[in-house]
Amino acid sequence: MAFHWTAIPRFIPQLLAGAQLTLLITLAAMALGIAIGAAMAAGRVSRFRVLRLLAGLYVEFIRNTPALLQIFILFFGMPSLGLRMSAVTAGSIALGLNASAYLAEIFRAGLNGVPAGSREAAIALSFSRLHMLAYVTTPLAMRAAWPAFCNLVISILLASSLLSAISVYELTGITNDISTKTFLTFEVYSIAALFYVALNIAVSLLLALTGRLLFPPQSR
Amino acid sequence: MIEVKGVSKSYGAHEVLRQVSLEVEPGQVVAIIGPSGSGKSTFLRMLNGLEGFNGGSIRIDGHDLSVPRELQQVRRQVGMVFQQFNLFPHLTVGRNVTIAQRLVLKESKAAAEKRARRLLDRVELSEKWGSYPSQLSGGQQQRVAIARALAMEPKVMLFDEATSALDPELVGEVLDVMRSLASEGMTMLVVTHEMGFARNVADRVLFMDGGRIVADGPPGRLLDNPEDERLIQFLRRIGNHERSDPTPVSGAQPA
Ligand SMILES: Nc1ncnc2c1ncn2[C@@H]1O[C@H](COP(=O)(O)OP(=O)(O)O)[C@@H](O)[C@H]1O
Ligand SMILES: [Mg+2]
Repeated sequence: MAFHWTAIPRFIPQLLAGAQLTLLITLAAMALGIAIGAAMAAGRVSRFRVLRLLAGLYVEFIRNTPALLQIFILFFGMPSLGLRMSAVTAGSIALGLNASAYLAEIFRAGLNGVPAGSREAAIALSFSRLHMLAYVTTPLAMRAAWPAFCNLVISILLASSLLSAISVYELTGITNDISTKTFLTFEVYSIAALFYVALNIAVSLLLALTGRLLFPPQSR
Repeated sequence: MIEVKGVSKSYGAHEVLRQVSLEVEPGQVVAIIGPSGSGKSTFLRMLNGLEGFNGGSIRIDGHDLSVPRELQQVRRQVGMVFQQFNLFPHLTVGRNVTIAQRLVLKESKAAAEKRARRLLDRVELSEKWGSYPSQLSGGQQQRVAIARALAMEPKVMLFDEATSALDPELVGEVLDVMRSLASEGMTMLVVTHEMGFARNVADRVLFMDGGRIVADGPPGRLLDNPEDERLIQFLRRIGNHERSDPTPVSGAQPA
C-alpha cells in the first residue's frame, strides 16, 4: 500500500473552501441557536407554567433525537410541507435548532450562577427590572455560562460535518467528494482531520481571547 | 423618618415578625441586637422592600411602603449595606459606585464620577477606582459598598451585620466609617453583634427576640441595667462586659 501525499497539495484550495463553509455554517447555527436558546431559557425560568412546560418539551425533544435525523427532517421532510430550502440552509437551521436546546440549558445554568447578593444589591439601589437585566443579570449569567458556551461552539463545529449527508460541501463533504474521485482516501481524510484540528484550535483561541476581554480574570 | 406600625411577617406557618412597631427620628442611630433567627434581618430588609410584609404599615419619610409606586421612592432614600458586601463582581470599584447614580438618578457621567470620587476618598479608597471587588480585602469591599449606598444620597442607612463576615483586624476600619456617618447625623439602623458600637455610637438599642422588639432604650440603660430576662441571658451569652473605650475595634464575635 503506497500513499500519494504529493497528490494532496492541489486539493488544498478545495479543502480550504470546505473549511470556510464549515465555519460559516457553525456561525449561522450559533446565531440561530443563541436567539432561540435565549428565548427557551427565558421560557424555562418563566413564572408561567405553560411556558416552562413548552420550553422544557422543546429542549428535551431536541436533546433526545439524533442531530442527523433533525437534519433529514429539515431537508427531506420540510419540502412535503411546502417549504423548500437549499441543503446548506436546511442543514444550518437544523444545526441551529440543535444548538438552541443545549444553549437553553447553558443559559439557564448561567442564570442560576448569578449571585443572589448582586441581584439584591441592584434591587436595594432601586434598579428597574430592565436595568437589572441589562447590567447585572445578563453579564453575570454570560460570565457563568461562558466555558460551557465555548465547548458547545466546538461541538457544533464538529457536528456540521453531518451536513455532508445531505451533500453540503463543507469540509467533510468536500473530502468525501475528493476521495471518491481520486481514491486517495487515507490521504485526504487525514488532511481533513488536520484541518478540523486547526479550525478548532483557532476558534478556541479566539473564544479564549474574547473571554479574557469580556470577563477579565480579576472581575470574577 | 421611619414609622412602623404593627407589622407582621410569616413564612408559611412560621411567624418571623409579630406585630412590630417602631418610630425612628431623623438623625437617630439605632442598634438592633438579638439572637440569631430573631428576625433582625427580615425586619431590616422589609424597610426597603426586599421582603414584603403581612399586615401593618411602614412609612419612610412619608412614603407608604405598601404602595408599589412609592416603593421605588423609598429604595432611593434607603441605603442598604449587606453582611456579604454584595458588590457587583464584574464592575470596577468606580463603576460600582457610579452605576446607580447613572441609571437611577440619571446623573451625568461627570457628576456621578465626581460624587463617587468624593465618597471613595471619604472611605479612604480613592486609589482603588479601577480595581475589581475580588482584588480588595473584605474590609475594603465593605467600605466600597457603603460608598455605593451613599452615592444615592439616602436619608436612611441600613446595616445588616456589616462587619460579621470580616476578619477581626478589618472590623475597625468599617466601624470607623459607620461611626463617622453617625456623627454627621445620618439616620441609621444597625443590626450588629458589636456591643462596643451599640454602646458608644448608638442613641438607642433595640433587642429583638422571637420576632418581637422585646426591649428598646438608650444603650446605657439597656446594656448596663437590663431588666428583661431574655436580654440578660443574651448579653451574658455574648459576653457583654463593661467597656467605655470610645474606639472599640475588637472583633469579638458571639458564639
Ligand atoms: N426566605 C425565608 N424562608 C423561610 N424562612 C425564613 C426565610 N428567611 C428567614 N427565615 C426565617 O425567619 C427567621 C428570622 O430570620 P432572620 O430575619 O434572618 O433572623 P436574624 O437576622 O435575626 O438572624 C428565622 O427563623 C429564619 O429561619
Ligand atoms: Mg441576620
